[in-house]
Amino acid sequence: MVKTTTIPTSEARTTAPLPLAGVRVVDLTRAWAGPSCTAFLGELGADVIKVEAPEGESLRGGLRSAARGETPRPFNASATFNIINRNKRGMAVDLSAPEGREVMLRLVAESDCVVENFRPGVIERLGLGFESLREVNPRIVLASNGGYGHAGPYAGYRGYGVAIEPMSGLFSVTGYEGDRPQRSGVDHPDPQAGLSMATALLIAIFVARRTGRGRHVKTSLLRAMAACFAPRVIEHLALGTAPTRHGNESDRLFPHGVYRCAGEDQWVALAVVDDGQWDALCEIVGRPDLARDERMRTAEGRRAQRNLVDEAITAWTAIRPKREAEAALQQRGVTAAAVQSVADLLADEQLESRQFFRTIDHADWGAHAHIGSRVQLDGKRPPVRPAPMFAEHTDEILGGLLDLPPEEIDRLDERHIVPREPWRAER
Amino acid sequence: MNAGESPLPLDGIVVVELTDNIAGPWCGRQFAALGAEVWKLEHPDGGDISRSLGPFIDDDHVESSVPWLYLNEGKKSAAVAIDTAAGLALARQLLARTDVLIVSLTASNAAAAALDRESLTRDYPDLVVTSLTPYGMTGPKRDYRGCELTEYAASGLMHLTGEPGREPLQVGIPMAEFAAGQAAAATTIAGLIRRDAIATGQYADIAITEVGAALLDFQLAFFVGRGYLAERLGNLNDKGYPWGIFPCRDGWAAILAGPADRWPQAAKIAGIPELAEARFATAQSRQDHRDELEAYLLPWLLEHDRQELFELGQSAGLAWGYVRDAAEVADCVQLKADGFFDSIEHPRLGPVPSADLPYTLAGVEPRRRPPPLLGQHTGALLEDVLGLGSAAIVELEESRVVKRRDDAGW
Repeated sequence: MVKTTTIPTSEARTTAPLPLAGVRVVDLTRAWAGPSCTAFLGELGADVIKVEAPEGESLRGGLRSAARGETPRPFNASATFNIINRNKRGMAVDLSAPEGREVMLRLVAESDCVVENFRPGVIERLGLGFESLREVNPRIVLASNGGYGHAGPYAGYRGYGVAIEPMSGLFSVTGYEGDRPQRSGVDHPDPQAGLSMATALLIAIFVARRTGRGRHVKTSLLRAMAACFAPRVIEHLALGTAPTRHGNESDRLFPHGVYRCAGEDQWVALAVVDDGQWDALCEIVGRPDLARDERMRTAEGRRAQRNLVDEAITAWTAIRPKREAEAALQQRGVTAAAVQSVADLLADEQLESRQFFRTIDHADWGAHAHIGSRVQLDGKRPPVRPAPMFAEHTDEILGGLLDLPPEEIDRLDERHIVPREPWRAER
Repeated sequence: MNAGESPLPLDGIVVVELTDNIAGPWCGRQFAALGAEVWKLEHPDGGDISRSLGPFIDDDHVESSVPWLYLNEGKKSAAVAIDTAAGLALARQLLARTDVLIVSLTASNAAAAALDRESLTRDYPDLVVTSLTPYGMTGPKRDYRGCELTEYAASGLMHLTGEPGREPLQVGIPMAEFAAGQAAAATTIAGLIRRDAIATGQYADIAITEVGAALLDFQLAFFVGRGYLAERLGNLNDKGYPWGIFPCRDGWAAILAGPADRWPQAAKIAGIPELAEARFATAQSRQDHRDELEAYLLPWLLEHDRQELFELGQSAGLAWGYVRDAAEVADCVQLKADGFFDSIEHPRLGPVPSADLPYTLAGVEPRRRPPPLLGQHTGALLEDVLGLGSAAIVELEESRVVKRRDDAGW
């Protein structure tokens, strides 16, 4: 289990290749869940080859997109596509054409994993199901993400995050006290399924590299979210309770919530998780009398006096900027954080010191801030590469990786099987 | 490999958890289910904080906390006070025999215990380390305290949740922690893949707030692409209209114009041909004519039940859904077909409801074992793994560095 290392010190470790260097992933996914999974794999160093339909992936905005009139190639200037699809190479293949399928299988032979989120049955109908892939590469892992699942009564159902979130139970416990169910602002199902899929496929690759045999791994938006909601289900099944909505309250802690700060829609979130924090909080807000108040020694006691407590805290927070409130509280060890907007994140000193956002220059879109990577590895942030322009890496993949001669590559382009420009058949 | 069972993906991998609450244990729980030997080093006084969080299945407030039970299936527990020099020394002996460490210590505490990046890389060069902390191990906020509420706030997620004009909201399940724990699992496996290739460990510094911020692909794109700063919109959504929940006869239905080309089907299934008119043909025009659209849609919805609307919409190729609570999720026919919710036999509580992993791996039956009692495996760690003699063990117990238990307890 413990092997002789070739890289003994932390400085030497920083020059080691990224963990997924040498791992190649063929990405057939579209929209968000799958692409966010593969963007993460790219952050960790994998060579992700995004294979789009000949007309380009839907998030590019299509051939008709003229929203960004400054560029002659608006399909390369979609902000959402470019942010979500960083760290990937790109090409387009008509998978329904026999020669397109052949190109795919040649790619599969050089790859560790194929990721797809087609509707159930589609990948098999394309002749690219697990059995077909395995024939050309016994180590191949096929990772399939669905909405509700690939088998079962809802297998054919369409799953979008905004509908799967309420189906998973999250809405039932999100909202103001006594008020209607609320959605999360971000829509969690897609990225959560993306992270779950990344885990599953990496486990399968780990085993495939040891045993020489790949396998098919699956997840769904519903399953990924149900795994997070499960403690509420367990609570219900074991205790007969009906978990519901309580705003920002905690059933155990008080205070636990958000307090208004100076300015419009400015808030600080804070939680008192132990007695020491309560004493510190009282001192900070200039109310040492509350720390001495016997009724306030426990969370329950404080909750019973909630108006008093909330007023005391708000009197202090309401006249300060949220960042100042956060700093003053954290300096004394109180758990607190300013509620941040995207603009706040881009100006956040912690994120800046950790290089969370990085500006990447994209040939057809210009220089913009991107999410760099979500982990720091061996003291460094992995480099970030721009999202591919449409079919940008066709020649280097077909020629360099698959050894196809230039005439063959041109022929595939002319026949719109591996087009170099977005193409859609006339209808 | 366990005799008589098929090999599990992580057979032979030893994991140590110096972490608690949600994110770290969520990562470790998946490793345990997939065959790894996962050692939790818990403080003898109370152990993992999730043991005391509740809700509790019975009046045992150490062994019956629901989050504890769910997040810590299949692991081993050794009660070791690693805030003592002797306890830390035991942890270090274990690390020498370990493949993976999942650790949540602030930067100062980690440095003081020689469990920071430089020390671990130097002392355990083959160890795959995943650090999970609210803000990360570097930067001006590295020693800040955090919990789900404040992580959701700092990451940018809370600002977007709730009604405009009212305070922003957390969501009712700890999604910042679950996302971070999931990212940690993937990152750790990536480290194991590399270690098989080039015989080196890894130190991954994961900030829970950063994993949360990384969920904001769309909002970042809107802002850098066209200067639109996303705000909370309640039931509305930047992605289209209708694209949210609406009251129906027996609750709330999720009604969306998605896939976009399927919207005219809504006119058919509702028997309201006006819904297919040009003024409702695009996402923008539906948004512009929202009041008119709702005048048709809302009364129709109020005449139907949620499940009926769900099935009606899906049969027309529309991605409709509805708000379900815990009881209904437990009864979900799809999750039942998946065998997702099940039950674990707990040595003290009997059968306890549980759930499977968020993904399936063909040919792999995850190992489902109960969570450990606090300190249940202290003896096994000290005697079998670390090979300590009885005199040494008694000394450690008497100085309250470790706690063993017999079947009845401590």
